[in-house]
Amino acid sequence: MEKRIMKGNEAMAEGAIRGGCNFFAGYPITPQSEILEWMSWRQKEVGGVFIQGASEIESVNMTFAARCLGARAFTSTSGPGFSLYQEGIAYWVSAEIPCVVACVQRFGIGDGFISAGQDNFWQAVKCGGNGDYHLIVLAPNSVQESCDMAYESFELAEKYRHPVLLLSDGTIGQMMEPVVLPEMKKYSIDDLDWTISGCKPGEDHKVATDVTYFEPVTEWNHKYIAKMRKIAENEQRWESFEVEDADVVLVAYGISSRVAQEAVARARKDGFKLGLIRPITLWPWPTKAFDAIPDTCKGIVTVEVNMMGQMREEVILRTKGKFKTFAMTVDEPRIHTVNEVIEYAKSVYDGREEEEVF
Amino acid sequence: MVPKKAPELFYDESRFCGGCGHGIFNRILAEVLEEMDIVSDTIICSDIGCNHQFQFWMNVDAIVPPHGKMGAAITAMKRVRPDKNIMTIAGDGGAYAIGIGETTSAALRNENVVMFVMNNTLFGMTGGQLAPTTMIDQKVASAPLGRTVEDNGQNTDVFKLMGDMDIAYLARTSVTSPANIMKTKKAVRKAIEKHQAGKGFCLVEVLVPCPTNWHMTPAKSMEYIDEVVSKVYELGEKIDR
Amino acid sequence: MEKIKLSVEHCKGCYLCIANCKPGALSISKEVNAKGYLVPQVDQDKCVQCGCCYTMCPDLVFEIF
Repeated sequence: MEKRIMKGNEAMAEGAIRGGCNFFAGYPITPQSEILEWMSWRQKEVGGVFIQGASEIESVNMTFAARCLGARAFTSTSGPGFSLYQEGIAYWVSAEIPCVVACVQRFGIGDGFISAGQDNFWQAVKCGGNGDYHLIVLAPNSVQESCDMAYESFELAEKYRHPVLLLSDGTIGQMMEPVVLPEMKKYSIDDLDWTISGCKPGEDHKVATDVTYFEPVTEWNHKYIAKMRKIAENEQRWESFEVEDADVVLVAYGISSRVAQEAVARARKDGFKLGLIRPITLWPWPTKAFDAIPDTCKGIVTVEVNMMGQMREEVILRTKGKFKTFAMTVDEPRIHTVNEVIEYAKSVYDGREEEEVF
Repeated sequence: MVPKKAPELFYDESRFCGGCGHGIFNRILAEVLEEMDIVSDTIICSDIGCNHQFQFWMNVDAIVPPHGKMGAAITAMKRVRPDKNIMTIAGDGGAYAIGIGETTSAALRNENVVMFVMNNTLFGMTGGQLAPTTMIDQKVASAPLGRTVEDNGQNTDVFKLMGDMDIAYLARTSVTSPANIMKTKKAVRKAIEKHQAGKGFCLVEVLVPCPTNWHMTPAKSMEYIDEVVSKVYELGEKIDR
Repeated sequence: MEKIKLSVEHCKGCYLCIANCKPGALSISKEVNAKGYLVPQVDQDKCVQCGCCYTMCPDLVFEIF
């Protein structure tokens, strides 16, 4: 096993490479550019293809085309770049082309800020493009997970022929931690039978396309919905800390979950029964995790680096409003401190916070 | 006499309107692919629009990216499978309007790919709206009094756009007569041969009729191309290296 | 001897074949195909097998022997 100190973005890029990624297209945007830069030389070393597209729109569609032809294709972006990706991603879903995309989130609307944020939740988890879909969304909270999730993402996407989104953030992407790098997986562009490689004599042609053109639509839609149900049931992942007797339960992913986990540890030392659910998959949402929350719980608090509490709505929806639900947000691009989280949770415990949904 | 029979790779009827130039071009391309014996080594990137209907009757592997994104898609396709012949059948709307960035980028990079662009001077599938190629004074659904420079800007001529670029092949042909169809076929073959030789970016624009949206008979549409369209959009080989 | 065969079921009535038939071997018949078009008919004697109809037809109606 190879151990190195790396940035989260670099670990994600290297994890993808070791997971068989042999195509990368992207466009520079902070704070994800290290992924692009890493791929520019690393793909050469492994005999893959790297293209810096002339725009995000080019990059997302290059990724589609490469994946159609058999490459394990990966692309990464952030903030407004992810907005530009949405049309392309909807096509991946509709054509069942299992690309992998990373969004290293930043803070703010439109161009926003280049610093860390968790502002793509709604877009990433609910459905950024047109039509009925959710992506399989994995949210790393460490450099190691950035690597591991990228490593397994292609096989997960291929299992369902459905795209996977790695939803990182500027802090996880930029910070350095030790990481154990996995073995290189072997993958060839001819390994999978659905890929487009030229129609052999006597065969029927293959077309990677939006379903509505080729398949009987009703039949395809039923198959697709069954697939989405299966993913929703089988792929929920989460980590829970001290939830069973918690008076207040925090819900946090990515960088916020690191702060929240420390808050739970410190609060418990002081006798305040704080718990944490960390969704690892944001879709499928780990609904099962919330069954463990005791009826005596005074409130659920999402800890998020955005202004409107995007994930709070998901919690209310998935718990069917069973608990009072609050969002601990920021009005400037920064991560919460541990003390702030504990103070806010105490305030919820004391009944001093108002519920709010925009 | 040389016997003439529909290429074998057609497995169904076309879904194009009567007299549509796409049907003629599809057959030309199919003939070339069969004559060069490269059907199994060819992957076509479709645009979205009338042109994409080639996939409903031609037994050739294909992919369909979002509308206009062919320039990006074929770039990636060729790099992933450099052993395959990578080409696109595009429309003038896809290639020069929404996809002008992708088309131009691929040409500026001189990617080793082939673009066949069907120029019928409007958006066919959506009902005949203004395209970049709509000519000055031409009446279309979204410029019912005719295109004007004031309201719609100048029309796009790919010879002016790419004439000085470092690309391998730039030609314009039409399908108005058996002679012009043979010229189109030659240009198609030449582009694919250059592609196989790794010469770089090749674009063949084909002036095709859209009798449905031009509100003309198919025979009249062909005359219109000869007398009007090909006067605005000059036929011939602009770049050949 | 049959010089040319028409698969008129594919015809969409554009008549580009007739417009380009120099010997005048093709004309509009009274037969309507399943699509509802009056399809072309051929006078085998006049056909010179030039192939222009095949070349112009967008719908693969013609086969020249």
